[in-house]
Amino acid sequence: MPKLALNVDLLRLLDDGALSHLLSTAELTDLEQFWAPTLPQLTQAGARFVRGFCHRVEQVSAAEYFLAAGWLEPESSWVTCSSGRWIRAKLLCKMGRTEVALAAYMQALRQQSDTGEMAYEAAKLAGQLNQPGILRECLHSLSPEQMDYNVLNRWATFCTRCYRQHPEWFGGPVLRVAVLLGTSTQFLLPILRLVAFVYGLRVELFSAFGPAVAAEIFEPTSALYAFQPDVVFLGDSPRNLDASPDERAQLWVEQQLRSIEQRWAALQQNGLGSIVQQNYTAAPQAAWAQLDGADSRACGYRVAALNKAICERANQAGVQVLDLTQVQLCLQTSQAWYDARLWYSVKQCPSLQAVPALAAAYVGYLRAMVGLSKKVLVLDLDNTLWGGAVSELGIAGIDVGGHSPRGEAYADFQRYVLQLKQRGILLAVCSKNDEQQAKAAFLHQDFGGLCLEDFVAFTANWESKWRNLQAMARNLNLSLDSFVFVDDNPVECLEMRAHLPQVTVIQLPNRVEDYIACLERGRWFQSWALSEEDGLRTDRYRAHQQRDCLQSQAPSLEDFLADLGMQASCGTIDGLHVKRVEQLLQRSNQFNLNDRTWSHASLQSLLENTAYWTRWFQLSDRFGDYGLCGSVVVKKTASIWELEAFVMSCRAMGRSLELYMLNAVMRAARSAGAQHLRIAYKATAKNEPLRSFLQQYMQEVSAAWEGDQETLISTKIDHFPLTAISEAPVETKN
Amino acid sequence: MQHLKRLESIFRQVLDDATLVLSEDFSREACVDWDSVATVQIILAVEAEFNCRLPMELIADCTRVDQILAHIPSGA
Repeated sequence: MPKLALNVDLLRLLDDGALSHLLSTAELTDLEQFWAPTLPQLTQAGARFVRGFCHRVEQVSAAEYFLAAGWLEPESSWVTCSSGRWIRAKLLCKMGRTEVALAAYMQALRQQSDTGEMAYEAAKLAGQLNQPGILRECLHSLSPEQMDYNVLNRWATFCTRCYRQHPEWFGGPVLRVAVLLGTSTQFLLPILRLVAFVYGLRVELFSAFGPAVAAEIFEPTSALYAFQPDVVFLGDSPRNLDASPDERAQLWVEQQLRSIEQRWAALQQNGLGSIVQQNYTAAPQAAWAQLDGADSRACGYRVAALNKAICERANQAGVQVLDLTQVQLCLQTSQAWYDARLWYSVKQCPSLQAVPALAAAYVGYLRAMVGLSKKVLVLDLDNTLWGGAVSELGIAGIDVGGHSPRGEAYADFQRYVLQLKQRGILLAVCSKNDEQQAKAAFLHQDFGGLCLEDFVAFTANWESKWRNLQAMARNLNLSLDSFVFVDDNPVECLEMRAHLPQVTVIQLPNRVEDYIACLERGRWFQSWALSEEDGLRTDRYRAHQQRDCLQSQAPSLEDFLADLGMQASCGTIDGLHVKRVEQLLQRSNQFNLNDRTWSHASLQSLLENTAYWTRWFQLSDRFGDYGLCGSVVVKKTASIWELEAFVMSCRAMGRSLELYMLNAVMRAARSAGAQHLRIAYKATAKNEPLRSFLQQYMQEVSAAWEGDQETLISTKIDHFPLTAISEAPVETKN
Repeated sequence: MQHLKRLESIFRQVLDDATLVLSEDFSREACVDWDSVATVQIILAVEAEFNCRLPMELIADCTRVDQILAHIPSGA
């Protein structure tokens, strides 16, 4: 075979696969004299090239040469490009220099984006070297963009094995999850466990599929109930629906719905309240052709009617609906939802390529359940909210609005962000810009995008962004891990990651038309329940800032609190308030007694239970309403009251509402004749503020604070802390 | 023989065992990690490697290596 003359300019035109093909016949001298020095110029080289290169190096035994010639040194020109960094780490690893190899992997991983393959090699090495911290770092580097089933499955096999051998390597809260499907669960579960790990959650799994599901649900002594799951996922494939056209469509829908509702009811009666019901995807076949959605005898029509009914009934029953259409929309074009062969052979649905998207949707719920959802979206301006730099082009020069395709896309991104605000996500700006100019740009927008009032914080200056964000977090009184930072500039993203690793950093893709999809894929802002409070959140935070301004001018804290004219109202938790209380228990971290997850059903069951005393608290002052921001659940016995939930939103922190709440409990307990109040406090990663509060007001039991597990403290009901809050006048109801 | 060698590398990757040695009579009984999930992974990987399509029954029932070998076209 005539030998191809290697020429860099030509090679730069080839793709990853073609390059790796060329390598497969490279001689030792080609590798030494041509490929090694040329590597940094082949910027298109990817995973296949790296594999091909290392494979060929092994075949012709060139590794020792590369080592001797200095290519594997930290200063080698290879470290200037992503494929070179990966090859260096891989070769070092193959040569048994594991410690150096791991360092090389981590250096590469922190500098470049990865498809999950390099991180996998690094994680395996970290596991081998007993380095759980590094293993977790590799795991967390897996991005939500990574949706390749084969890559993730390899990760899942590895992580499952590690977890079995070293459960202590994986941190984070443990959730017990039951997956009960009409389709096979065996492919979903490993990926589900893996994706949970990626987001710092551990899941214990229980599963059943097919006919076994009904047995588990309807038999009170079943293994399902013995497992005591925190959340139950239910679902089925339309392939299992008997859409017999003989019956009337409405009758058919009612029948299907009844069997679904019976399952919810049985689960709820047996104490399992957190239920997520998948709806049905459109069936893979449409025998009625173009009339499939229109004719009441057709499967498409019936599935749509059933989905609508599921949604309505689920809302009444306090069940969450997982909309699979949304999951399908996340799939890339190469990933089909249905795979007929896997259905007929192993009852698997969806296709393996769609499994990661489904697992990510499940984990979105789990994250919301344990309060890992994000609260603030921090946005860059230039090339994020509009095209171009406003400081260079002026307000008239930036690209946003309906004048160009890119302008349309930026405008749409702004409208999307605005919708996030409307459902309760706080927005902020963090930009390197001239403040006047940056703000002026918003005043001239006329396409229904963002305006200045939509932001709870706006920093445009030339300081480093991480310092600005840190100050922002302090001002808003939110922890850094509730922030998502979005920027198009990779340097800003790297710097933010390096200085504030708790912040979720999203580097926007190169093309503006992909911005929304990129932000959606992370499911950062999923919430378990929405309430009316959510829409008002931005206003509440803005009022908060006015208060801060007053506080900075007040001579003392007492003066400030007195000046605020705070008033509280409270009442027994009822149907009107239960949704917001549920949300408060899920979202609040700093003032929360423990990490117990309260399901909708368990709260609902308290409403009529006379053994419990419950309260919601609402606070307002002269700047506005804080909304419902505190809640208490007490289990009553004759002489002892047990505090089961004590939760307060961070937006009410520093207002002594916690004292007011404790006071209310004490007074109610005394008038009921109780002598002691018992509190089961369990330390979590964040509830130190509640601990110091309780410690301050319950000094006689301070000895109990030594252990960091669950601490049962008991106090005599005899003192009543005073606050600057007065009782709100009772509204007369008509 | 060539086919068996290529199958071996697939089995090694799917079962995450770099030392696995494959023979024609290698079966599920001999290997705890070879479960039904692994079967599907193996079949799909074989199809990609040999650029062929194996019958659906194999996905459900494959328990021995020679069952796969019998379905790989000789020129692949």
